[in-house]
Amino acid sequence: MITAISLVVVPLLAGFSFLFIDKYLAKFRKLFILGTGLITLLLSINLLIQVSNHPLIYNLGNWKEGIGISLIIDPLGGILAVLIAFISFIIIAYSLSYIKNHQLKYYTLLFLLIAGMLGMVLTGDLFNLYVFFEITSIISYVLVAFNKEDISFEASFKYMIIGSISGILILLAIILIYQSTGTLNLAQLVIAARNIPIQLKKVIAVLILIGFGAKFAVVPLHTWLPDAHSTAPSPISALLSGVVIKVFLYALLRVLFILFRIEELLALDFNNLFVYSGVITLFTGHLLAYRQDKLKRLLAYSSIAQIGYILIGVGLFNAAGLEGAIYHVINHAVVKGVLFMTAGIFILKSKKKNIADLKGIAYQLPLSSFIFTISALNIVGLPPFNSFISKWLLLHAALKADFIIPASSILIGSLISLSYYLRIITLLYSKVKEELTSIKVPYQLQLAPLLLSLFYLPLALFPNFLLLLIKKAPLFLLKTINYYNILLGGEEWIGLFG
Amino acid sequence: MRRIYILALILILASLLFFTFYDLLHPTEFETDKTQISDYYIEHGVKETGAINLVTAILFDYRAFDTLGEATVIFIAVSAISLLATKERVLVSNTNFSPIVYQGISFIIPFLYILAFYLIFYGHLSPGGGFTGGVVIATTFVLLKMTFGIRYSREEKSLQRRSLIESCGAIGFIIVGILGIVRGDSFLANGQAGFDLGVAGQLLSAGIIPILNLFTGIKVGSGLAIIFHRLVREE
Repeated sequence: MITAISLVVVPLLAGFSFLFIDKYLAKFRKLFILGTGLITLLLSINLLIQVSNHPLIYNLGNWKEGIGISLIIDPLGGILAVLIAFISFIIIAYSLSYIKNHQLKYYTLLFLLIAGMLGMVLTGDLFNLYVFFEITSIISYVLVAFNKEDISFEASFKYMIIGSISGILILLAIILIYQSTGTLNLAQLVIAARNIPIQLKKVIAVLILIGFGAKFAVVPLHTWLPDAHSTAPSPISALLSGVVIKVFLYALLRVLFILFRIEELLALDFNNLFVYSGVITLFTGHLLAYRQDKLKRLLAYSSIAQIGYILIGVGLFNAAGLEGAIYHVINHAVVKGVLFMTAGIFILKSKKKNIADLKGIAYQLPLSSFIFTISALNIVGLPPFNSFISKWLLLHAALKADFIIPASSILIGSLISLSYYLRIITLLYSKVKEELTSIKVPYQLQLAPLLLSLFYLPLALFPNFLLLLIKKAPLFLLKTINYYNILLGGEEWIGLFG
Repeated sequence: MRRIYILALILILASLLFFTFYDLLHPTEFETDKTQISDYYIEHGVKETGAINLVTAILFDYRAFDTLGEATVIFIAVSAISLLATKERVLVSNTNFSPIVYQGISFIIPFLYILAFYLIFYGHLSPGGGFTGGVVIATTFVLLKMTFGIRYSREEKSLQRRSLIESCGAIGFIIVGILGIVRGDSFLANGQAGFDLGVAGQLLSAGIIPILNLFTGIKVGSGLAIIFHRLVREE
């Protein structure tokens, strides 16, 4: 039980107390930073083991559910918590040798960002979700501007304007939900939301779709993402692309499925809305990525495209699609993390951001280039790699649900992405006459992406281990009555054994 | 022309929102099941938290975790401004005010402090609380700075001290929360963890609420003072 709350409190406390460590215990600073990341990771794994069989509820201040705030953790929350803690730990390790200026503020904000994201996936209270949503958003704006260049200020400002508007829309939706049901507890809302008139429900749905949609960059609302993710420092880009946008997607799904039953969603044609906006997002992302000549911008557009894949899976509103989507969320977080980190190494080495300037860099950075190549082929979805498995699952689910065009667009999109990633790979490995630069890149910098890329192997070879866990997620996300039953301390989950 | 387009767009969106919320503008009788939580707070609030001020009871006991989040948002804003605002700072104003201003401000400062700490410590008894009190504390810094100029507070060092105080406030909030766990209950537990709620209406009552108020006040006060410090520049 205590792991649930300490998962939020540990990074929060670390963020607040980092000033003291930095000032008085500077010797232990590195140990403190890594230790916090590691403790968070271990706690999250512990939590996942607990909740994979028995979803738990933690009442803050020991108030009754609905009176106070509760954390409600189901398997999906547990999986995402581990993903957040894991990617964050790698990012922290990478940042130790990447970030040289303003370390104090950087780690303070990074810890608070981790706390905010964990809070979003663990909380069982609608307004608490909004509080953590704001924490995550505001830190994202700040960290995007961390380099203090004109271009990053512009990106951050753009992100902030769009993000603030989306925040207001979500707050409006929360007010409407609270006014029409009288409760903020997500589990109680499962029952209470049935009494909301359908007209009002539609308004709320529009508000949260636009609100959260702007945050995870569904296509007409994606304009901030390429700027923000490409101008941020590389570890932050990896974190933003890898986990932050997924957390917002999780929040949307959680609230949406609690408000609407699946039948209502299907009657309102929400599945078409999700799937086809996924298709549009996918093609826009891929086609724009194809035209980029800056490496990180290309990766950012590729992230938008991957959100499209995930949306197609989610929009099927069945267990198979969600499983594929969740598996793709995990794969994309890992692979895009590695890609952004290696891109950071390239940029540090060459001091240039254009792809054309990276010509022949593989002869100076053989390991990083190899990792980049593997990861690029991975995210395209070539057969031996883990992204292939998740894309296959998505494709299979889409075909089964008679979505032919989305299914084929998954294939076509992968082909487009193969073409633009191959362009980079061939450039990396083409011969150049003279040495590019003599800038030395510390070898520790390559450790973090190497470590993360080692996880391709288990993800690709033993998908069933992870899928066993993932299979439990739709039970609580789609069959929300199970989510409600967590409140009652029930152990019999509908559809778990049948 | 562009302005007209924008105006038209705003009007269209506004009318859309208006018609959606039209039913909500004149709410029919509130059904009882929709006000059950507020009814609960009104009925049991004083007994369960020991705070007469129900707003404080909700802010610092029933939903204290949200307040921790809000305090974190202020902390982030302070960090962000210290990180991103330009470093070159100069005198706020070289203009000399008349002696009346100097004397008046010097006279008013102690009273402002009393007001601030009154608001903080009586937060569970009367309107006020950590956030309000913190803002008043910050006002004293702002007033001093406006009248006596930057030379009165020794810049970088005092800023560092203020950041330390701010962190202390935030850490204190969490430690009080953890005390609840230590005493065998859950995070931020008050009465349930056996903290003495005292007699409602007395100064020393309501368990952890005054302590949380104090920490929030310290945090908000020093945080806002830092923000002002970082943003001032001569015109």
